[in-house]
Amino acid sequence: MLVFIARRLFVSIWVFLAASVLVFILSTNVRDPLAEARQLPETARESAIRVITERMHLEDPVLVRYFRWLSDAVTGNLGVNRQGLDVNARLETAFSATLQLITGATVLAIIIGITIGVISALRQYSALDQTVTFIAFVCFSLPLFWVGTLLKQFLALDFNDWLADPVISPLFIGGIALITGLFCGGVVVGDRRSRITAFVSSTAAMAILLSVLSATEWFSDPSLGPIVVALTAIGGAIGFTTLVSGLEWKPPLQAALIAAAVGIVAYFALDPVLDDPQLLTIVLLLLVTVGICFAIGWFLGGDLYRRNAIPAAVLTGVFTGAVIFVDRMLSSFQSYSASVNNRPISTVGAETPNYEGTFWESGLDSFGHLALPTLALVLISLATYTRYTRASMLEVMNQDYVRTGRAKGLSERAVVTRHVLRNGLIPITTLIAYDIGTIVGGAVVTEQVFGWSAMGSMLFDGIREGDPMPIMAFYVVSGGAIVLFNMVADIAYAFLDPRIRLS
Amino acid sequence: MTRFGRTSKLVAAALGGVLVLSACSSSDDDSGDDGGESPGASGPSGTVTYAMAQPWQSWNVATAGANSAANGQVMEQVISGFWTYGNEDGQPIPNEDFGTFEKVSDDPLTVNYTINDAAVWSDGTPIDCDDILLWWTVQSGTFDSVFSAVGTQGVEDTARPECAAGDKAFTLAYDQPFADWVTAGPGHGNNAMLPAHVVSQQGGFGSEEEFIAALQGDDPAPLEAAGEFYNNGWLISGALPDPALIPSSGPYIVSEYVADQSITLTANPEWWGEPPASETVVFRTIAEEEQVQALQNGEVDIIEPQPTVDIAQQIQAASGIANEVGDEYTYEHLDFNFNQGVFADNLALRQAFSLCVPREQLVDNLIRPVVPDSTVKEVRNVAPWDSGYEEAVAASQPVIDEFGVQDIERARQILEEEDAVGTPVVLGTLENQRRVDAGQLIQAACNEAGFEVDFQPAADFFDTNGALAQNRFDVAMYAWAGAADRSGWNSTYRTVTECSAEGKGNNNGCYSSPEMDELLDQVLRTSVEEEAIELTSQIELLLWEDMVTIPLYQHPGITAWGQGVENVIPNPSQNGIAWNADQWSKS
Repeated sequence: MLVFIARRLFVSIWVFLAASVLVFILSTNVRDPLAEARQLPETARESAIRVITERMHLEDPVLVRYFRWLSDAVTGNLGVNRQGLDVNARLETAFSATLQLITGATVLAIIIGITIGVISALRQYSALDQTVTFIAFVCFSLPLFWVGTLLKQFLALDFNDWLADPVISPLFIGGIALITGLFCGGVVVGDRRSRITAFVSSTAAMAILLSVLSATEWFSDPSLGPIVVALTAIGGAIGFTTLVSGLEWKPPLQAALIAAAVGIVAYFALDPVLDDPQLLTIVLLLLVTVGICFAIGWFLGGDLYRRNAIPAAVLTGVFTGAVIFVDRMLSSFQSYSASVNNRPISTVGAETPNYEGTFWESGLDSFGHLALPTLALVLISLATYTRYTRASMLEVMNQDYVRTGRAKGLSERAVVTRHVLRNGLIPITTLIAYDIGTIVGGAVVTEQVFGWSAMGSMLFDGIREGDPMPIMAFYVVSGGAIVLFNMVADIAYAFLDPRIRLS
Repeated sequence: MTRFGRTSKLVAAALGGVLVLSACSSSDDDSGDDGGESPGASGPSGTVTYAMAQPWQSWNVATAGANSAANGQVMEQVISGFWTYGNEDGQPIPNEDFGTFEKVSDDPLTVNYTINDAAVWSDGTPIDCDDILLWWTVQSGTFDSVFSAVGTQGVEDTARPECAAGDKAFTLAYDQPFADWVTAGPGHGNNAMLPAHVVSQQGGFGSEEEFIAALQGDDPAPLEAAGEFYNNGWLISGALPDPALIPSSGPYIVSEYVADQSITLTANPEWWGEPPASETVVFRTIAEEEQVQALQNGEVDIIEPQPTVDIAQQIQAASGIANEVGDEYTYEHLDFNFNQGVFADNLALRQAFSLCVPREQLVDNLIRPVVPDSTVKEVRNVAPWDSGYEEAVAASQPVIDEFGVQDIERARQILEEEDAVGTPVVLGTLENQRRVDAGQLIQAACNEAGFEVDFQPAADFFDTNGALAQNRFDVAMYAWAGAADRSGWNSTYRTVTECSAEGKGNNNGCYSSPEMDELLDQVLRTSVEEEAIELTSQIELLLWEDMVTIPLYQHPGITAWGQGVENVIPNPSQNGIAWNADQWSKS
């Protein structure tokens, strides 16, 4: 393994260097950096041209400029751009902006994409599968600048207007309820009757829920309250146990339920702590939660069920924590909304300038700014994950050992989660590793449309100004990430699939 | 001077009145709603947010590399000077909060400046002699190897002002008359007066006297470190410099900066003049296409995007938004190539081309959808709101009537007389929507007259190797920024030493005429306004007679602001709307 990594790194460095020469030469020829200065009025023109020429060493041959860059770059100095600004500083802000903007979207796209992919694979060729495929492809082919503008119009401008008087029209309630019903009816396995039951009951439940929320104007001052938090926690406990071990054995279910109960107690007990916490407090609470739930699983599971009880308890505990977090966030919504002129969803930027509020209000501020770009990114990247997952799941489901497992009498849950899903996800791992490598490169159009200034716009500015320095900084980071994560993908693949050996 | 003085006082008084009234009325409203709060009747309050497409890159706007509109807009209210471009017409107006100045003699031209006694940098240091000498050293280009300047503009013809530490008055004595002596003095933009005590300290000088002595000396060497700081120490690389390095001399200080997101100005507690209306003014960096929706969503209060027809329609269709359209100083024109090609030595052909250009139709199709009352631009170097515009148009009118109005029949007739039907003409321009539309209209009309127009819009039009610099055009279509002063366009029509990318400067067509050179010298060297107007009229007439360039239209501008935002006064100059940002307020 170590030999493999060393050899791989050695080769990568030469490829990386060769590519950097190419990129540098291309970037010095992409545009004339003096074009803007040439349009200045006479009094300012000559001195502006002289400054740029000196700063960018335009009179030196390209290779001299390249080696000057290279010798600086190996010492960690990425130079100055055409305006004389430090590229390292720009890279730093751009990189952290990219992480903020794209991490959430990528994680969401992976989770939602894989879930939908699994569901549509399990219901192959059903109406649900076809619909999901259709929608995923429609989203995949949408141009981002257009989606962005529409999202801003409907989910920012119109939504914010609507929040002033949050009454949902009956037509809208009907539509949402119907879609929910169709989805639930499609997912349920069974005969026509049970599917119709699922359809009718979920449609009705959704319609009632929305009507009540609308009538109580819940959206202008939302919160979950202790009852909903408790019910969700218990529901989570049952759900995770089903997923992890099935409900037929008691200890995992007990562990999960106790984790949920502890969470509900914490909801009341931690009330003062959570009024205006620090980020550190939240992280510590998360660690404590994991620790306690681990202990619950360990003791209740006993030797026999420990392997199932621990994940069931930990997942339930973290989920309950997340629900409490959301509840807190929601109850701060009204005060946050009032502090930004009742327009909580933003169309541009990463934050409200100079915003000061509690932890929850600042969190909502970030969320309000991230909501639209994240949604846009998730929509267009969903298709890749659903399609890959679906194809990979279907391939595994047709394997002989899956049929053997079923013939042996394993429950469908055990077949799907233990044998199909685990093996089906191996190719997805590679995809995710590649994706993480490329997201570092940013999303030029998304950044532009939503007024973020991250890696993509740094590259774009470099190209627009004919300035190699930002382009090379971009290359170092994103090219480096791609090389690195390609290697990580290979290693992960070998680790997950024992049939593959690295040598 | 007196003209500007009186107008600006009236405007200032009127604006001040509006300000006081609006402050009173808004505080009345507030106290009506929540009587608990004491209304801050006179103090600045509230926040106004302005969207700007370009990022802010330097706290020092007066260096060659930092001379951008975005830098100028942020710093307009932070660094004060004796004058700024202001009002609805973008003329230089004196800023008497900062100090007063007066022309005491025409021959030799001598201007006395006095900085307000109360004027201090926001760290408490008085604005005085060391600031004056630093300003003069930079602007005169005395040590141009050390200090970077946007360009010397008249100051190189003045003697070094004499002053000692603590003095607040100085004199600029010119060795020859200079037309733009008003804007040659320390202003708000790219010839601003920067804090010498910071430069001196960063340059390693122990005391004000030492720094003054170095500035008064002949040797640039001791100033190297100071120059390095002056040129690069105020660049904004990811974060604001130490607050001690950026003291303000205007109504606001730069208090907060988030890279590529926002710049926050807060009221300067040491400001000695009329207090600003809002406690904070925020500049947010937002691409132009996204500004309208951001304004609609209340994230910004004022926007000023380049008005494509789309953006103008979007703004006009939006509810709850006030907007104002108007012409900018920037104007579009066609330049003939006098160095080579068909037009170089043939006045008749140039006149024929001018006769086929559909100037009225260009304005009708491209500009009036945004600015309904826009008109064809008749002269080049003065805008319709500048003094001397009527005189210049009146002087040129005979030529405009004969060759400046589209007459395809006549153009064809000239071409036939010259036996030049089918003459190929390369029309070059930068590739963008408006210019491509314009080029196609010109192409269609002039082909009808008998030219064969080869329209070549190119993305690299302005590049060193592009068509404009390398003389690869017969007619070039592009824009000049334009301004109220007369020195800005002086070299545009002056004989060049060599018609190459390096040698031709702004005279891209390499036009040359001894008579014109003489007139240009005279207009630069008069400090009497009536003479300048007369000379400018003669220049415009000669430009029409020789058919050097064809003026087309002023670029359109649009400004929009949200409900409750007061005192937004669009301004056609490059400094733009921020000229009165200290008076913006939001109820």
